[in-house]
Amino acid sequence: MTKVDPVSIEVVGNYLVSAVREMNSTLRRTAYSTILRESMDSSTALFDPQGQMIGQADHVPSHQGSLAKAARMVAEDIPLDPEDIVILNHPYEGGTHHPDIMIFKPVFHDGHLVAISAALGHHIDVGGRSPGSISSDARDVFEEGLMIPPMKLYRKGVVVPEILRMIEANIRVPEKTLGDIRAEISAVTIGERRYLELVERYGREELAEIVAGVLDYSEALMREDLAKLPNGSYSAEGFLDSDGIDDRPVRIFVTVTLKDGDVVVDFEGTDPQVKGPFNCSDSSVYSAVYAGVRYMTNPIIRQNEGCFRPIEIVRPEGTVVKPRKPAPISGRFTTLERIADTIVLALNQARGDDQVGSSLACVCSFAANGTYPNSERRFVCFEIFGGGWGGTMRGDGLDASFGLMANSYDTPIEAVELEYPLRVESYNLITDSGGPGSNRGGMGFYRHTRYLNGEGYYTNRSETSKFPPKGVLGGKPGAPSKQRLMRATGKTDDLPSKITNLSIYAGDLIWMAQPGGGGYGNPLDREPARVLDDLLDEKISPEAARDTYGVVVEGGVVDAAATEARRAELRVAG
Amino acid sequence: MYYLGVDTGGTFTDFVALNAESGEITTFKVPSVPEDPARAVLAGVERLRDRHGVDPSDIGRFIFGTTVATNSVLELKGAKTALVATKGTRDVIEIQRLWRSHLFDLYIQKPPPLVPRRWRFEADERIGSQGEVVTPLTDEEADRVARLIVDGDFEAVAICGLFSFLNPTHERKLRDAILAAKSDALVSISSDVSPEFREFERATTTVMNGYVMPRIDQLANRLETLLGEIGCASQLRIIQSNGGLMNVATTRSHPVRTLLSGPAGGVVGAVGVARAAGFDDIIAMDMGGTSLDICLARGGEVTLSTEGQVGAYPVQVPQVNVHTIGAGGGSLARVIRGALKVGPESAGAVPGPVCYGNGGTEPTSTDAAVTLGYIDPDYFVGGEMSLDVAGAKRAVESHVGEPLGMDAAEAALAIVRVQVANMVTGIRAVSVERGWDPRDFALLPFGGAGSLYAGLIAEDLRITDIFVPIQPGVLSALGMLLTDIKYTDVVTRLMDTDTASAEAFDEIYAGLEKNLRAELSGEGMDAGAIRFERTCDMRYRGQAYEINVPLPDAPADKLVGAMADAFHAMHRSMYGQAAEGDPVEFVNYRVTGVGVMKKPDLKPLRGEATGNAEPKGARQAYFPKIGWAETPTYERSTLAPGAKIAGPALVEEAGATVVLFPGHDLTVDGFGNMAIKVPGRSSERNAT
Repeated sequence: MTKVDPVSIEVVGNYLVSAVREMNSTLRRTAYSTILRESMDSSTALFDPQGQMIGQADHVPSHQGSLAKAARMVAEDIPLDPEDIVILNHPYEGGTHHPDIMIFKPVFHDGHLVAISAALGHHIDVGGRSPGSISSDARDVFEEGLMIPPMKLYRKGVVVPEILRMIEANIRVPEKTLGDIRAEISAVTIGERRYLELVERYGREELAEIVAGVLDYSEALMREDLAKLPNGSYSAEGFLDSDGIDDRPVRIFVTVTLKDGDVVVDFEGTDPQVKGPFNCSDSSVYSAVYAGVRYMTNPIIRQNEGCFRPIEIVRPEGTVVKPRKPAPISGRFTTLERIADTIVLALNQARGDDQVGSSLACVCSFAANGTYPNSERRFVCFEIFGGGWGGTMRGDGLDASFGLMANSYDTPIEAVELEYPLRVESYNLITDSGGPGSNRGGMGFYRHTRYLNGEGYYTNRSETSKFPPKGVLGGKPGAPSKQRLMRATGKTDDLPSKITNLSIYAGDLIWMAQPGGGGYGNPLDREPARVLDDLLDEKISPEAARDTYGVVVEGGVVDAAATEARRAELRVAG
Repeated sequence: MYYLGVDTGGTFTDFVALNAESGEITTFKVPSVPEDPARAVLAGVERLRDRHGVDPSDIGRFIFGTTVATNSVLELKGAKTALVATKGTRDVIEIQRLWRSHLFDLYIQKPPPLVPRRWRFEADERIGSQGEVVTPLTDEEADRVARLIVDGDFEAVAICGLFSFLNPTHERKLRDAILAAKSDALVSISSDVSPEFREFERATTTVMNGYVMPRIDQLANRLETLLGEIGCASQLRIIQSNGGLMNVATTRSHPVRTLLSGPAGGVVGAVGVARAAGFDDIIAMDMGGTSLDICLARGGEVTLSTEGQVGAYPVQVPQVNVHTIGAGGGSLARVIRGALKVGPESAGAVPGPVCYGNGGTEPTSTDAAVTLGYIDPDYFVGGEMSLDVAGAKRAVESHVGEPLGMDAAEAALAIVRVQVANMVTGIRAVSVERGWDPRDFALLPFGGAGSLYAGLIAEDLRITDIFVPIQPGVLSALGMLLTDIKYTDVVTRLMDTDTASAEAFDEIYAGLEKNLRAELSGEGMDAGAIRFERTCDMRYRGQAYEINVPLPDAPADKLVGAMADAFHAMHRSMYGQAAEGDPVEFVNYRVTGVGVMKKPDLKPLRGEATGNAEPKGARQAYFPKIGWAETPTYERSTLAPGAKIAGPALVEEAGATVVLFPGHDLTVDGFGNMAIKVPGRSSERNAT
């Protein structure tokens, strides 16, 4: 561990955190699309000249390792000049999936590269065969949208307009996307300013030493927490509903080996790469593994390269987690959620009673596309949704949130309706969706959206319809996701979790139920008073109270004797 | 005639009475009565009568500040409140936009909704995004909902319908139906409480209004009764989160506007005193035992925001832009794996810092200050409490010094450095991060602990002026006497640089001003005492976050362009880029109607300019770079106007100590404020 004075570690570490947060708030405030300005599906970070991540905003976990991988590539492969700005989204050249456009700005001081300031924004559309660029049945990366290999968008402060024109010509809503790219540039510019202030204060060389100390410190804390878990190898499997083309599950298999604070995550046993877009780019797999392991450690550890160092990743070639180009990858988020959840499940075996139920393990991406009333102008609405988390030893699982790998805001109903000819008719929690347990799984929710004008089509990329989130230690699974299309004509179709470019017409209702989390512990052990609370709040139904939790309620109060009898009966029945 | 400012805190209720004729100020504190805050107010008025000869009927202006509403939200002890929402949306306040406050925590929970699900009802009605009726609210439906509310026996009701800020008819109809069924129901509607877009934030704000309404209502009743009985006929006014005053009727209907009034009072006081002394641009920092409130004022005006938070809940009402961080005198210093952390965990009031001798064992920031000799152990809170210096020193040494290989003084200074860095980060959040350079501001510390660290913070931020105001202990109550009546109104109408015109603006603003003028006249303000401040929330077309731009002075034919230019400039300053060629949208038009109150003149002190001040003693104190030094101590109350002191020195008064660091120079001004000059050279890093 580098010997840096402890006060400087704290001071500089905190400064970096506040700088990357400010970058992200700048991005949000200057962005144009709802996905960035309302949902904040974005990340901002600072890197050292070698591409080591030195600070990242507390946002989408899946971006954490991803930007790091790309930053290293930029640092190593591109000769950088002051005032350059590098853009990329190519999934086989540092990117995650097509819609995530990354922007990097080298930070120079006195002619020396001192840092790299970076932003990643999920863009509403980057072309390809499906609006929103989230087709669930693409067969190669070329169908999935425009790919931008790492290149300089600005050379020494001067924009290369041809690049912007090239982008503009290949995407569906350029006025949003180009505005959002500007917002990313704002963010990296703020990051540059803030880092230069640090350099001014400490001097280049001393700052570099302190920053190295900040990384070492996170690494030490990570190892200390990881070493508390018993050494051993722990395996688990998880499944995707399908690969979007063939209707068969996709298996993720991990073996996590812990040894005195070192972690090896081995994917041997994971399915070969699939036809559809649920393969994972390199940077995505790293982020999923880092996050899955990170959940085993203290949340207050400052997130940076030091957190990654104890972790080694082993991936067999040609699998879902190490596909060969040009295998499609745009749906990789679903796979990431499954990887992180599977790592948590594997490590449950090392955690005694302190296990957690499975989370929703998906992100539901929804894209509707059509025209505005009385206009030729087309729109693309892209939204993301979550579900419930698993119950834990300490309490019920988190209701209605994004998965382990995501953290964003929803798009307010009023923002959707102000912007698009759509109407959100339900956004409520779903009774009985949380997996029963002594600590219940978190609740899923409905999101029903009516399409109002003319003809359009919609794409949905969801998960967890066939493999509901698992309970632990006697807890029951959460409710699976469900998707339906209720036609204006009155006809209702149950849909698979993955749908691409389905035609929709004015008056059709896109009906979605998001999954609940898995329960923790036997529901028959849940305190009757908490069961009553859930019942009064309609978080569980009267049937569930009686038949799953074994609690008999009469006239709004628990009948203790009848409850005891009912529970005994249910225990015998198993 | 007397002006009276009363600030109800958790422990004490502060009084500042100002004689309007002589300018003389009387201040004191009485113990608060949390279960009936009005009783403490009465006790204070009696004391004023009995000990200071102020007849209650001679109180011409009575201004009151309260944290009753704030505390009931923080402690989740508000009223039994029902929520009525548009069909399909009753869980929006529980879903809370799906957001998690931090990452990588499997046990994370969201803050509990203030209204549990069983008390949330839906009405079958819907307004669309153009304000059109999509699903009409029938009479039968309104009555059905009203019956549910009556049957549920709620203390308060909040109604939040989608797009009600564009068309409030459904919300009003529901309210009227509820009032028809139960005439004394306390009903809040979102189109009235917070008429802005984004349903979660608006609903939460409205719910909070209902949640605190019965308590505030009860308090207002008690105050009016008790003050009437003692013969105080003055109209009561209450300080609100925007730093302005409002009348009792508005307080009863919009109690959510008091939620952030606690820090607002102090800030307004600080700004008022600073302005009188010639400092218009200040960064005020109020540091207490557990937290630090930071606020920036420009041109003698505090900045406002509508994005505030109480506890974990968003509050969407105009409020003084106060940024709070967990740094206070009680912040705990801990060494974790070789790194030193200070706060946000606090030793709180119990056990408090080790030096209090109440059983605290872990060192706090106050213990560090005691170890360094900054605080006189025998003059803490004016000598009411004696401090255990040896205990503080031992704790600093064993918990911080030994693990880091430092002696007690070095360790204490390290604690101070980390705390100062945390405070600097907080100050940067309100300055640099919003496009302001802190070097252009004076630093204004108040509260018990702020003046210990102001010198080091100023060095770190390259701030050259520190201003330590008079009456630091009752600044909030004093601030109430230095502010105006302020009502803000807003209209949302989308225009852009192509469609806008000076005439259209004028029509909107004139309409808003007409209403505000009527309201202010109703409060007895003369036409000459009413003024208006026009601002506009602007953005590039397609963005969703606006920048609030004050209307520039420009002739009518140039106004639209001048507004766009002002917006581009602010965008560039805040975000590093601007799109000068792009269309700019005008979104919300805000007018603040100010009823300018006659302000008391602060009375300059008697006494002559004296040059160098006389120390009352000296003790050992430890400073960066020079280490231990025999340091003169001064009693603040004996410092006459014009007195000068060169650092290092310690200036003491009951409840606060100003640490004057080496190289810093202090001058007492005509009112008794202290102005400190910090050398402008870029200080060396090791200085802290």
